Amino acid sequence: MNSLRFRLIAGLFLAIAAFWGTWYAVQLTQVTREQTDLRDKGMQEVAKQILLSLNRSIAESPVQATLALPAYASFTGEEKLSFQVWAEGHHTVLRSPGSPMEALKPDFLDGFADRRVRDEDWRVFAISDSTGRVNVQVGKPKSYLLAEQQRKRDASLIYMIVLLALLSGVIWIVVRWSLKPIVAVQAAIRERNALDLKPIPAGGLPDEVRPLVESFNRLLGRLDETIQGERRFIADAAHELRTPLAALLAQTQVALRSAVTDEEKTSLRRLVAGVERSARLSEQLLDMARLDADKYANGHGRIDLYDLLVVVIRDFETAANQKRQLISLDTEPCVIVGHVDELGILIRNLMDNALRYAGEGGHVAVSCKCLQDSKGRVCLRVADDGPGVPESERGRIFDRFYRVPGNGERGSGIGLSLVARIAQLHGATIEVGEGLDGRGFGIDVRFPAPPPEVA
Amino acid sequence: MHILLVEDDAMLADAVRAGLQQNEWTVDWVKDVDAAKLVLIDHQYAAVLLDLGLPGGSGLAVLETMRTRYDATPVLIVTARDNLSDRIRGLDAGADDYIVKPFQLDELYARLRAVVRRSQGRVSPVLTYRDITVDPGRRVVTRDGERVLLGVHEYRTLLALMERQGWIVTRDQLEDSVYGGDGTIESNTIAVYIHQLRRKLGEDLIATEHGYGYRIGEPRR
Repeated sequence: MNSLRFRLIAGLFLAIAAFWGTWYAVQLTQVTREQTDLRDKGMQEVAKQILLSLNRSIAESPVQATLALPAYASFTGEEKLSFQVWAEGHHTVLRSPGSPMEALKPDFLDGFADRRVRDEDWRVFAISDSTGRVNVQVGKPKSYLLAEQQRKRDASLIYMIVLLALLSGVIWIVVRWSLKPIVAVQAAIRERNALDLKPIPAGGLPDEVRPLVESFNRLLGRLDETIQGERRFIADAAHELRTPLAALLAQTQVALRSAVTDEEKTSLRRLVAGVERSARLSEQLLDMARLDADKYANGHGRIDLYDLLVVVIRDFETAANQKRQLISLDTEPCVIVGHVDELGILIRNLMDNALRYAGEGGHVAVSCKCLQDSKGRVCLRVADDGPGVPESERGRIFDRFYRVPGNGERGSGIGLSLVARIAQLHGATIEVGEGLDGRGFGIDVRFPAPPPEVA
Repeated sequence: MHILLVEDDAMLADAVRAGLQQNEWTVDWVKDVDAAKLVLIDHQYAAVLLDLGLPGGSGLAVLETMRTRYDATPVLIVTARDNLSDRIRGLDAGADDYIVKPFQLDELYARLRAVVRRSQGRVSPVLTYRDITVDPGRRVVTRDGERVLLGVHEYRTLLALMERQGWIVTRDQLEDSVYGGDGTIESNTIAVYIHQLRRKLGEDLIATEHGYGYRIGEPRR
């Protein structure tokens, strides 16, 4: 997870948990040692007190019967502190109730030892009197101390977990709060149009991020200037190119009319064709540049698609007439939301493409229908009865500069890429298939239904 | 025929003028909006060939001035192919037809001839039928005093029918009035416009004469 928030929260939490764990372990060792010392001291004290409180003659005295408790008191032996008094190193003269029969410390040497008594780990202590005749031994099972330590450990562990949970909650809140301005910037960027070059709001940003956003904004500013410049250039170039080409075409046709020899006429006709081709190419390049520069970001509105079709298709009337081609138009009153100029480019390129593929005497059918499906989409279809496009090539024809191999007609490979781009900008889908009468090529552009009209 | 050419590019203007003169038309040439407005005041032309991209204002201003003065001289606008919105604005403002740059001279002749032919016998006063009025000068249609917005083709269909009230107008005649094309395009668009006009102006406004065409008003014999 490459998220700053995740890294901060996880990193801080792990670090704190690790430090806390270490501290806890150190504390635990310390406390255990202290408690062990305390226990040992206690046992030593008890042994000494017993020794000192014994009658000097105890070594000679025989083993006596012990007293019994009164009926209301009971003895459970919970304390588990056992003691034995040994005389002359071979018999017990005094013994706590419940203490083992054998010596707790069989070597009878003074000092502490860890022993196994009655299948339990014991801590034992022995001390002899100054004459060495009487030996007092005190012992306690270790399990007693261990259980107590376990209880304390468990309790503090629970506290620790609860506190860590609280702490991680606090860390989460603090990290979230600190990252809020950054998240706001992120949201602002995400909601932007792909080519929106307005500066990102830098107000309220923390000092660490502000320079980043500010330099980004400077970059956006420069980019915006560049793009504005490019747009101006495109607009100028469009005008500058179109008019001389028109003049050239008109002048050539004037010359063609007054040409006398067939030779002159042929070469002038070729000139006309060349000028038309360059005009068409420059137009497409300009369309492409303009679409890329997102010139048409604004100006979408409700459009009668059928009305637009009529206007654009008429541009092809003369050229189609010269090639004895038939254009048929079948429409319904369909409304879509879009940009007039973009849709004009789309329809023009579809038509241009279909008429080129249909060839001499071909037929191009254009239709626009409101589909009777649940989405109420609008389908624009342009189909021809030309040789068609092989199925294997159909996926690639919308790529920029792609030309269907072996096709005699010279296309620039731009037209359909413009169609695809404009369809995408309008949320439309494109489907390709067969054209008219089981042959040729057909393209369907399906536009989403317009939102209901506001009265 | 006498044509006014409004075009700022000298090279293109020369070529167009030469081409039109080959066709034995006479051409007056002006370069900008103001000159065009001025020359239109006291000259009568058969048609105006108007470039939309002019220095010192759009050619649309010339068109609007003409139409507000009830000057019904047919106007053919010259526009860039990619600027469809300009073209539609031009038609909405009352242009008779358009031609896109770069154009073939033959196409220009054909379109000029068509707009001149269609403009002949055109009446410019306000046309009225029942609660519908059509003002060709301002290109305004009202129903019961309320303005109705029509697309340029719908308007032309209505105008063609209103100009011949009581007479059947055939589909071919309507297509000629609406597009003035050479018949290469086969379409059902006239039926669509009739449908839209009925929707916007009343179902019983336009009668269908099956097998012939459409009619507005009581039949005349």
